[in-house]
Amino acid sequence: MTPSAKNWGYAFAKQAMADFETWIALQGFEKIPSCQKLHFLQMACEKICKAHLCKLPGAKPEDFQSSHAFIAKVLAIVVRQQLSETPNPPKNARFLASRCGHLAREIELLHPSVQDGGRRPDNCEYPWNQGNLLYIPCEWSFPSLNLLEEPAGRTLLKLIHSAIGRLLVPAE
Amino acid sequence: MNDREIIAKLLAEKHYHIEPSITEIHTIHSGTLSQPPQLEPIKLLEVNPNTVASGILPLWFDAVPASGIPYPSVIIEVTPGEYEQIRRNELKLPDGWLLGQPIPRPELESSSP
Repeated sequence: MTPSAKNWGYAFAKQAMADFETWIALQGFEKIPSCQKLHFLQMACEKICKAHLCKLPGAKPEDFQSSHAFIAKVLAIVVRQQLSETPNPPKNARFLASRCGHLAREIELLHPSVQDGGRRPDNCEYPWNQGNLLYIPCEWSFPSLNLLEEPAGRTLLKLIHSAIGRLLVPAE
Repeated sequence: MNDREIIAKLLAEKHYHIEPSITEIHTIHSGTLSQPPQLEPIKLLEVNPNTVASGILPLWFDAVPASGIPYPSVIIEVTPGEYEQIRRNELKLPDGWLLGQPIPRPELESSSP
């Protein structure tokens, strides 16, 4: 039987949770470079976005398979919806949404194919050339994504985790 | 207003509040129901100058009755330029969906952050 949109959405969500939990598990290992850890966060965020795109009846997962440059937009909407669905949302929901949007863009830029028109070649997978200097991801600190210390960083992580978890609950 | 319209308005107002850059929210209606009424999602088109143009990307969210949203929802966010293209029928909504009524921003909400 051909998998349904619901099946695809669940599958992407399940993999997103595996990626996210791996990112969490790696946090305590100082010897593992940030690029390796953030790669799992980038993959988790991409998959949660694809889960929401795939769940629409009639959606074609192959349309999104090779696409990476929509995470910031979609994640911002996911965060907004997640805050809307929270029975007692935080009073600074506007600030959180704004900051989460900024962090979502930084997560999107982790993918090597997303470079902001060449302005942001830094990524979590491949070496890059900038200003005739060669940079290596495993030696790059990714200062904008020190999420445990960035304003709203921890909240974004909680919202991402909740959003993935919600996709894994049978629809009410 | 029926229950679905009330919930759509409630959801739109929450989105206006959380994202002050949203300038307009419209309902979207299907020509015919593709699912039983209780499973038919609330569909909202949200115009946000701070988003990027990406074409029509409908995002599905399951119902969350515990949070007062007993219907699934579909959110489509577009730039003002894309919104104008939709109005001119140059950019099509999926499955024959049609732009519905606007849901205005609540009066007490300002659009400034």
